[in-house]
Amino acid sequence: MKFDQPHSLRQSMSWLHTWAGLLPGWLLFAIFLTGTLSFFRNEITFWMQPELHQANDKTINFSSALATLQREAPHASQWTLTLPSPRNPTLGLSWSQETGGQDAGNRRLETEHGAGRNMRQGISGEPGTRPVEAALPSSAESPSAGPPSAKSQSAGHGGQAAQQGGRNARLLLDPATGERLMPRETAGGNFLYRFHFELYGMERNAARWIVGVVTLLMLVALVSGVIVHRQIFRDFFTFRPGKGKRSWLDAHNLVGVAALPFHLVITFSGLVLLGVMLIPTALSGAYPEGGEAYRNDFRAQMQSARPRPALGVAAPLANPAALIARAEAQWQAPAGAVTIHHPGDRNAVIDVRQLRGASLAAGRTAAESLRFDGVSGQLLTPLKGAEPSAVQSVSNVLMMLHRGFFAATWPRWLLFLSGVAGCLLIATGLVLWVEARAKDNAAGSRAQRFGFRLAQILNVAAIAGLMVAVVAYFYANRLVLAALPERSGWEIGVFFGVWLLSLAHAALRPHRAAWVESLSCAGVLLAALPILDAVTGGAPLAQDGGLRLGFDLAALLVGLGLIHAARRVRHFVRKPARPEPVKNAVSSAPLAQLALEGEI
Amino acid sequence: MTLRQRIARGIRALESRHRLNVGLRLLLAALGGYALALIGAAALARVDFGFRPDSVSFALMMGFLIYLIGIIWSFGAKSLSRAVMGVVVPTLLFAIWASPFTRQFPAASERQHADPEKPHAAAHGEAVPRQRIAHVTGAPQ
Repeated sequence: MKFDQPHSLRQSMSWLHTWAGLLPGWLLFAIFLTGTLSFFRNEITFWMQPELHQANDKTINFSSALATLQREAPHASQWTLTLPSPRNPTLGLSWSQETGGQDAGNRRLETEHGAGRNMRQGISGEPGTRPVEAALPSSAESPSAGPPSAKSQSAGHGGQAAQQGGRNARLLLDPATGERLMPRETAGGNFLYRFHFELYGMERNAARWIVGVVTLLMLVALVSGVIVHRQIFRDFFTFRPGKGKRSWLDAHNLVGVAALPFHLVITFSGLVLLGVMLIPTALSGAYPEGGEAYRNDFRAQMQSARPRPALGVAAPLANPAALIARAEAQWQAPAGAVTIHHPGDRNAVIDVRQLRGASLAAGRTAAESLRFDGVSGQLLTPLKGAEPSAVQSVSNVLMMLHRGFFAATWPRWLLFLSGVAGCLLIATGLVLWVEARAKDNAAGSRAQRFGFRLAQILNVAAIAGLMVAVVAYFYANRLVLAALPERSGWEIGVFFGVWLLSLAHAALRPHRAAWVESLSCAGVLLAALPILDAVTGGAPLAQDGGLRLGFDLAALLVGLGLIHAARRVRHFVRKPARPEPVKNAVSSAPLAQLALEGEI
Repeated sequence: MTLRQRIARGIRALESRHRLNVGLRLLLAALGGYALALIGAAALARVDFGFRPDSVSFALMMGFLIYLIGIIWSFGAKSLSRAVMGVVVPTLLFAIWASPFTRQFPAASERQHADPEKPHAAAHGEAVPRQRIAHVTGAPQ
């Protein structure tokens, strides 16, 4: 492909597709893999805290929970109970001392966006269940828009300090017994989640810029791939295994086409999530007076949901269990959280919030709240969101899909599978680049041969090596002593240590052997993960409500798949080239022709 | 040789070298595309939806789309000069739109305060229609 000579659009797009896909491909695979796992962030963190496994969420002992809150935070202005959900069987207690209003908004910003907070604490509730924070424009976190407080918090360990200081502290209880659970310190699913947009050990804005650029290149590769590709429908049904390069191309097309809407949406919404950091003029164009005004527009709304002030007269609290039952009966949907304002006061108010909203377009605020009088239990006015505008509908749908907020169990698995398709798309593309050049490589220049070998090494390390590292991370979680100080650092250390080792392994071993060995290693370790869980978990597997079993089953299946892949790679014999029968020549996609001619 | 002929010859010389051509297209896509996206977003942020955070969301989404189209165009155009024109001309048009001389963005915030439905007065849990809320720009917590 030479740009100075006459060429077709498909030729130039094919060139663009190759390079916009290859160069960021290794990092993209890591982002996609950790991002895909992040759909199950809460479940992974739960798995990584065996101390929580015994939690029994058949019943909820509210009197015990309220007694705990009374003991731990008698003067708090607000208590929040995060109810057990299918994603987390514990009962979360948190409280804050604030008086509400704008000040509350500010403080929430600080604590909510503290980088260390969720990571240290492990399980954080379903994001949609936090009533007011959901309304915050999280762009406040980005550099151009962030207030100084949020910035300083996010940079250091301020979030953690705030948590220990009790301003927004959080406890986890066994719902049935009301007993406090003390989970081990773990980096949990949040490490993988953070890695997928902030990498690790880097200045976070620099990391986000890198991720943003790589994401944009993914989008370019997707669109140019679609332009190159004419026979989208046919490729959906085309897979010719065991034929080397042709098979990789078929597989690449298949996973690309099958989940194309997902790939486009997840990539584009990822860009939009990084948002005003990448395109600051979108904010400054609408708000020439500065980002503060933008945030004020949101804060003004938050104040609107503020409850009535405390009277200063003591009164007994209504039973939250009855209010939850009433709310659930009215919604015909489960409740996710209860917030009690001014507990113990005559003017106490109890908000019951839905676990999930019913509308994607309405965004996170789609989860309705019912507000009750905290003493008499009478229904006050419902807090209901207005209809979202067209622009908000679009952006809300993008954000909700990317974060999977709406998703119940099965849609979540569907997102996960689509994410897996994304990983496969990138992986097959990377392998295809090497496969397409394998035959002519020996005749290439020195620089070409070096590039080829580098791509081989990076392929093994970035694809199979990363999987070994993730599995090693899970093993480290269970095998590093639970009481070790700074143990989440050990978990992360094991992850990167193993990843580096696999890079060295990929560089030292012959290409095919490196693939076979690292794939087998990841496969065997993954398939054995259920055994590790059974031995080191916090409760017998048979008692599990589905969270751990789901994790273990997925690990087993993926592990077996990797072992199978390793066997296929090991025993693969390149078939001697045969001239294509005429009938097949018609059906072979143009892209395949280009690829076979070495254009891709 | 007239100036025009000289320029035409210069462009041909640039276009006829493969590596130079690719390198220039690369620069055009990365930097030109980014400039186009920045200025385009600044201009589109002025589209009034009656609620200014909506304008931010809109401009942001459009900005990324514009960048994407700019990159595709930079490599897809038949010749280097067409590629350059396709990025530079829209950038200039957006720049005119976004320039202070043409600015007359309605002060949406003032209008909102005049809005009787604006709930900031009702602070005690009474009937409060929550305003629409966008989650566009955010990083996850």
